[in-house]
Amino acid sequence: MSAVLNVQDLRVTYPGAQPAVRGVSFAIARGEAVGIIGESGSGKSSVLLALMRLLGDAAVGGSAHFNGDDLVAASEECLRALRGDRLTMVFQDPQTSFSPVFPLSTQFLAALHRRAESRDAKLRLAVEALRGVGIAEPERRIRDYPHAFSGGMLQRAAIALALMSSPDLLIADEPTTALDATTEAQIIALLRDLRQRYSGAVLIVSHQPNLIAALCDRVMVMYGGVIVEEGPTAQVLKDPRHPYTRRLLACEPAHIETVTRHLPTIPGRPPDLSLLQAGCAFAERCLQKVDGCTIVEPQLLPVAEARRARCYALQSLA
Amino acid sequence: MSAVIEARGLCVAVPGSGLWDTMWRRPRANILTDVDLAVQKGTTVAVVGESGAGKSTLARTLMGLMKPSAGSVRFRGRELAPGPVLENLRRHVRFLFQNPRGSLNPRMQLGELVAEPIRIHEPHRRDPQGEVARLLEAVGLPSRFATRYPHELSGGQAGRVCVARALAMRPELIVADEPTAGFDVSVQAEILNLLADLQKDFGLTYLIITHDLGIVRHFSDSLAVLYRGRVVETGATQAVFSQPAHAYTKTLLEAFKAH
Repeated sequence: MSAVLNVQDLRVTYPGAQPAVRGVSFAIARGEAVGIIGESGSGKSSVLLALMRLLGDAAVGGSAHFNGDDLVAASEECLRALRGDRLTMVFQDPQTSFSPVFPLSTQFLAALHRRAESRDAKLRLAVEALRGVGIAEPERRIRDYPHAFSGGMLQRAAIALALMSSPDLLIADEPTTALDATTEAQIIALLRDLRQRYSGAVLIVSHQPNLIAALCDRVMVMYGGVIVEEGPTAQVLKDPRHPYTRRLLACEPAHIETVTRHLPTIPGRPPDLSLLQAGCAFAERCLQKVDGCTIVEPQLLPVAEARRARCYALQSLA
Repeated sequence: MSAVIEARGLCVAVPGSGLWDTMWRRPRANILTDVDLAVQKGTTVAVVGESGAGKSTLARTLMGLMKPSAGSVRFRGRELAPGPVLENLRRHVRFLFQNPRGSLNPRMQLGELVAEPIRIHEPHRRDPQGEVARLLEAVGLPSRFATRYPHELSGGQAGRVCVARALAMRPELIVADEPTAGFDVSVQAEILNLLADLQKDFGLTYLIITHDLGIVRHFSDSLAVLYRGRVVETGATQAVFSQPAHAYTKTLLEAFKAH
C-alpha cells in the first residue's frame, strides 16, 4: 500500500528557540485513519500546522511528502493548489473557521473556485455536502450566515466543506474541543459514519482517547515533542506499553473498575522544551526510571507486532 | 438529612418565536416538564442526559437565572422568589461554568478575580488579601499567583482558579456544568480529585451536570437521568448502575460499557 503522506524527521521551532516538535516521522497509507493523542503542549497541533504550512515564522525542518510534493519545501503556489482541495483541514473552533460576513454558500463556492463546473453545479455539490453531514434543509440553510448556526451545526458544515472535494487527506485538529460535551458525542458519531463513505485518509489530533478510539485505525502518542508510542488503536489503548501512555489512560474515569473518589493523576508538569535536559522527556515524571533514562533519549523501537515505543524499560525486556 | 435545594413539579417553557406566539405570549415548548429533584446536604448529585435534554436549563432554573412556568424551587426550605431568598441563594450557591478560561476576565489579576465575589457580597470582610492567599492555597496554587493574569495559566490552573472563586463565599452548594469538558484526562483527574478533597474539608454539596458516566460513577452519590425534559430515573448511583429501571438509562449505560 502506498503512503499518501510520508513525514520524515519533522521539526518545529518557534521564535525564541522554543522547540515544539523534535523529530517526528510517520506515514499514512491511503484511506487510513491515524490519530495523535497527547496533553496540551505535547506538540501535536504543531505537527498539523507544520503540514498545512500555517506556522508563520516558526522554523520547520525535515520533510513531509504528500503525493510526491514535499509540504515543508513546496512553493506557496503548489500549496495553494493542494490546500482546500487534496489536503483539507477542520479546525478546533468552527465559529472562527468561517468568515462571519459571508453566507455559507459564498464560502463553499470560494473553496471550489478552481473547478471548471458552472456555479449551479458547484452549489449543488455544496448542498449535497451539507446534506451528507446531517444538516436539514441544506438548500435553505446554505444561504444562512455562520451566526445562524449552533456550534455543533457549524462544525458539521466545516466538515462538509473539508470533505466536499473528496480530499486525499483530511486533517482535523481537536474537532470537538470547542463544542459542548454532548454535541461532541454527536460529531464523533458523524465522523464515524463518514468514515464509511469517504475513502480518503484522515489525521486527527485530540487529547481525548475516546475520540481516537472511535475513529482511528492507528494511534501515535506524543509527549515532549516526540512520538513515545505508536501502534494499532485498539491495542495501544487496551494494553499501553510506554509508562506515559499507561499513566495517561489510567486517568480516564471510565477505565477504572472499582469506584473511587481519588483518581490517579500524573504529578509534575509537561517539560519546558526549551530547557530540556538530556535523556527521556518523560523521565522527570516517570515511576519506572532507570539510570540511563536521564543520559540519552531512547529510540522509538519495536515492542510488539506493528507497535513501537520509546522507552528503555520496555526495550530491556524485549 | 435536609435538602439544600429542591425542585418540585418544575416546568420551564420557552416562548414561541412566531408573531402570533409573541402576541399571545404563547409558550412554544416545555424544556422541562414536571421535574422533581432534591439535593441533600453534603452529597454529590449528578444530572445526566444528552444534548437538549434540559440539563443546563435545570441548573439555571435552580439558580434563579430562569423563571419556571410552573412548580417551585426551594432553597433551604424556602421558596425561591426575588428578594432575600434569591439574594441568599446567590451567596451560598456558586456556579462552575464549562470552559474555565472563558469565565475568567482576561484583564483582571487572579487575586482580584478570587476576591471579586467577596468584594461584591461582603465588602466589609476583614483581610481579603489573606483570604485570597488561603483560597489559592486550598485549590493547590501558590499565593504568588495572585498577581498573574488568566492568559498565563494552563487549563488546569484556570480550572483551579474558578474553584477558588466559587469557594470564596464559603458556599453550601456548588453547581458545576460539565466542569471538566475540554480538559486533558490527566488534568480532569486533578480537578475532580480537588473537588472531592474540598467536599471532605468544607462539607460541600455538589450538583454536577455531565454527560460523562465515568465521572458520575466515581463521584456522585445519587443521580437523576434527564430525557427530553423529564426525569426518567433517580436513585443511588451504585443502584442505578447495577440495575437501571428505565429503558433510556439502560441504553445510556450500555453505550457507556461498550467503550
